[in-house]
Amino acid sequence: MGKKENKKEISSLSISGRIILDMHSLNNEGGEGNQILTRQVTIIDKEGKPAPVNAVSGDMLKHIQAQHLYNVAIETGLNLCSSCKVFNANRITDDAQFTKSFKKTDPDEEVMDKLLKTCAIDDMEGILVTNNNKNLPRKSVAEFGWLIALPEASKTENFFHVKLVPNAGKGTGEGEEMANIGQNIFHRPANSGIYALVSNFDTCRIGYNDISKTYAIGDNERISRYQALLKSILYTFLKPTGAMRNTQNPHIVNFEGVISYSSNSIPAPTVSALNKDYDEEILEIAENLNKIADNSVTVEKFKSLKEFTEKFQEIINNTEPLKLKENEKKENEKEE
Amino acid sequence: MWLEVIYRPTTLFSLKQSRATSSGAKSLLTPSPYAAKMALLNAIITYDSLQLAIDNFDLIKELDMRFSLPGRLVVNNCFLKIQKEPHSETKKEHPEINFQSTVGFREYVYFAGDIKIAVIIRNEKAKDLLKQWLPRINYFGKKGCFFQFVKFKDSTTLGKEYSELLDDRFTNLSPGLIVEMDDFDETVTFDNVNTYSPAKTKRKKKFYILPIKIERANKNFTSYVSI
Repeated sequence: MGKKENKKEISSLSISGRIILDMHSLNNEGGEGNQILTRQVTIIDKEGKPAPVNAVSGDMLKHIQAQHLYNVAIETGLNLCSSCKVFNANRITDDAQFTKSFKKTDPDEEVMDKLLKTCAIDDMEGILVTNNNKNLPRKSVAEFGWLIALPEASKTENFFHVKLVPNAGKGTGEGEEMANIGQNIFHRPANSGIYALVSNFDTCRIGYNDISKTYAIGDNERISRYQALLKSILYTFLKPTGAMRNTQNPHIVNFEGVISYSSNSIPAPTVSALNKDYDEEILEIAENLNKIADNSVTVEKFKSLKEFTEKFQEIINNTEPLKLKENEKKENEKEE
Repeated sequence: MWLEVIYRPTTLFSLKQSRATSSGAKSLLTPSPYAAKMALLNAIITYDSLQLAIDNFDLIKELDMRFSLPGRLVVNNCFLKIQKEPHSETKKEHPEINFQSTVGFREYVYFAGDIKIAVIIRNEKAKDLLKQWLPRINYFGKKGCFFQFVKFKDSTTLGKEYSELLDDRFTNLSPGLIVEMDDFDETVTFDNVNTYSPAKTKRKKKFYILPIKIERANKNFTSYVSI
């Protein structure tokens, strides 16, 4: 099966927007005593004053997206290494078969080809291969910036919580602390706010060996991985997995913003939604970029989660990943 | 003649100082010349070819850059979970462990406005190359630290908001924060900066004066304002 006809090709896709998350606790950075601390960063507000606000790190968002990608990959039968089959964070570096398949002296581009053919998650989420004393990075296709709350629309409250144990005062105390079976009290945060999101996905790099400048996998496999990636991005905003969801599953009230995508080397533009005019600015930037890049940038605004899912399913169904210019490659090396 | 390039930060920025360890890393306050040149090479290699990057390497290596920061910025102190390679002894005893989870100190910078990078233009070839490829850069420093290209501006002189290079001149210095940043060494080759080559890179330390001063600081953040 070859590539489908008449589908728009996308080299990179960005999402900039505002998402309203209420009563969540996705962003904890640890604890002091019995108080769980919520992660905050300081930005500058409209009056030019430093303002501490809630923030969820890009690492957290990428972890959520990677988990959805794993589920889609298992469901659709994409190639995965033995480590990613059980969603092990060490990814392919913990795959004994992969480690045995090369020596330190093997050229990096050959090892990278093996990695790309073996595993869709390592391909799209990135990994640093340190096996056999190699130091071989695979850059991620998915990139997330910090999710930052607007200073005027962000609030953190704390709740007193207790794990009640009957007759707690009559226990012997022996081993109770180690086993965590005593009665304990703690304070936990609940955050609500409008959060600015920015993310970018270099879809043209799916299956692309950055060293040999060739694609290690065939077109059909690339399209399958591309669709899995897009589905995982969509699910990230429908169901943000993460900390304390057992009792503090976020209320996603609304998601509005802009999807931008590019069909050549111009990166899909992004603007932080901390700026109230971000959607207009992104349209102007796209207009300027189109003057130097053959109208290659498309911008689509959405006002709700419903509109976002509509726009995104259209992209999933009607687009393909762009193929970059390849170096010469022997025909028999190509895997179709 | 200077070519000014205006980028709009769209999220927090972090670029480890080159002396930093993976456990504790303070961030530079602006993309360094080294980071900007590497981003330029990366854009050319990704979207055109390795050959074009090699052909233009000397031109890119010799670019002279200055940096302008917005009127306010805030540096956030954060502890993050990171994956780290185990020590050599642990590796010997447990060869199956590739990475261990630990925490690391990182700084993330919030810019309240656009940043500008100015490059001295010595010939039309350089100008054409930069005008073609600088708009294709969408992040500097740590992956995910997005910047959006906004526009170019040709200038004969630079304003006071730009950094100054601290060379052998130690008189009439402008007030500001002195920062050490990396640039390509004069002797560096493409092979040296190639991520996939065993050859080691060669960095040249340069000192810049950024016209900013500390406004407030506490355990969580340090805020700066322009002078």
